Amino acid sequence: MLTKGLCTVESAAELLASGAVAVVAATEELLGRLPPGNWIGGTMRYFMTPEQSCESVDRVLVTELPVSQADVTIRSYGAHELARIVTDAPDNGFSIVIMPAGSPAHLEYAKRAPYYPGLFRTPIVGWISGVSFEELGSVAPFAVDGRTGHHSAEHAIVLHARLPAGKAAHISIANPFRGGGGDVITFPADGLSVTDCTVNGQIRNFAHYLAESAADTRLPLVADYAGAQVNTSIQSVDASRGVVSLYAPVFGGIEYRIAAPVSDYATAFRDAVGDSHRDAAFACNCILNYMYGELEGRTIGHVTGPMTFGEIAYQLLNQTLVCLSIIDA
Amino acid sequence: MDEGRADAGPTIPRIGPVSRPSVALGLAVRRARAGRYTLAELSESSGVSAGLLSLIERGRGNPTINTLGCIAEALGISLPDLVADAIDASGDRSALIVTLGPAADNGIEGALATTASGRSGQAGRAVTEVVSEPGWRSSMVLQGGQEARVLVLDGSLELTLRDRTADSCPGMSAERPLSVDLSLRSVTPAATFQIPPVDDPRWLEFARGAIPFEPTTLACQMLFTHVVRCVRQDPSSPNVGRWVREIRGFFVKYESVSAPELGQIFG
Repeated sequence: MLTKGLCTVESAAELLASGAVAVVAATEELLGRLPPGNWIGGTMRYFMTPEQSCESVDRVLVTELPVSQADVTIRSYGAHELARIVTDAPDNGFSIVIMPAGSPAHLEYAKRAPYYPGLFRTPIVGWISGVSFEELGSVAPFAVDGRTGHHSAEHAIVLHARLPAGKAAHISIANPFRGGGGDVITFPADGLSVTDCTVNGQIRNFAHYLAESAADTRLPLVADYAGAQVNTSIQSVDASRGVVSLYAPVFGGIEYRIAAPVSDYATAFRDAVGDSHRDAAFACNCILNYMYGELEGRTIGHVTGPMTFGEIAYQLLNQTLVCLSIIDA
Repeated sequence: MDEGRADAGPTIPRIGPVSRPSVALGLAVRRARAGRYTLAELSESSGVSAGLLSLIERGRGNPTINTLGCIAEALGISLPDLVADAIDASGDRSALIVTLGPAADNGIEGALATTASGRSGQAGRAVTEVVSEPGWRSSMVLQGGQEARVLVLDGSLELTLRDRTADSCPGMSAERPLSVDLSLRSVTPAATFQIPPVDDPRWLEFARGAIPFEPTTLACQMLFTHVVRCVRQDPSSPNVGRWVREIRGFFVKYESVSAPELGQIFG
């Protein structure tokens, strides 16, 4: 039985010392108490479990992966090396990425990942590590290479896992948000920080548009990717400068709509998750859902993982639950 | 009715072959949904999660008969038609759907009797279970308006008949087995589909978004969206070639599970 859930640092240490391959989320202090091993980790203190969503500074969330240590490599990538995540990935397997929020690696991956050759035929999931709300801007988040214990605030740490013949990695997302029936918004270029846009074909300043339309900026922009609903969350709106900052980039040529309101995030996620992610080998969700959806103490389904500062399912996503399953090929 | 082993013989028509029932069913669901409902809409109306629907459409799900029934109902088609379509339209060669003759007013037993022995059986019985090769056991018996259809893998088919009148006839066996041997050795293998080279003009049409396309996996949804937008933004030959190679490479890697998508592009 694989370990997947919150446990004490002592239990986590015992598991990792035994050679388990795992992804770990915890505070920096707890991560520093874990032994060397076949694991990667990142700073995070908000979690979802089948029992409830919660914040914890004295427990560790461990996701033990169904692979042997002989089939795993762990590597660190700087911002200018990120395309190598794809080329380093095994032909049949998966890669789990942890990047510190705001790091050069995070920002570069956000903007450039869809252009990496081979990205979408390489199962890549992961998350952006963060800190507590109170520590935002004052404490740096980290990613950790468990083999060396090296903490990095700059680099992406990636666990590449090879799967045996007959098994395959399957990535899915659960997104309770749908583009509302409102305005169609497009942007002239890719960006994490935007000024101009078109609204129903009319050129506008995006910040002014949001202010004038009294948009609820807790709701993400939603794009329909041929049936997959892909979110981009709004970080801040500076109407005086006419600049909107985003947690994930918008891409030129894609049509976005502001999401329809979701009255009850927990119920919406439970409906979106259903039973289909019960056996997920790995999962993560977004801190914005935890915060805006007031999920603390509530369950959102049969999923276990951190509530993070950004989710990766091939490319960077926001306000989305990401799952990796190992299925029969 | 003639029970026990029966010679399938020429009285059991072969409607068409499939490689794996799950793949064929996935294709059928996909075709029935295409252009009418999104996955999310079908999920909502059928009560089947979008994730499971996606798996089913990709031939990776193992839906129960009840789940398939919910999907068919939401699609507004009968379950027999859904499965028949799966078999009809597939190009592989390792399973059969068997039409058990016109049922008329005699119900399923009548249909079975017509096929197996050439005479009508009694009304009031229903085929309740099909068992074929290991790993495929399902109540995959489909009652159409005029006929019953049974999905059969290579090997033998066993039907269990339940006599609906048994309750009112003490002493009668409520269930009786009947087996039908089906050998597919004479079936000609289908030609192997070759993914076209990068200079096939259909790739260009596809990359421009000119071919109606509804991918069923997240990776393909994302890739397709980026390909179309990047090609529209920069239609120069080098850029188009770069993205055509990208998407072709995707299908080469995932060829074994990309039949639904490849079928949409290349027919």
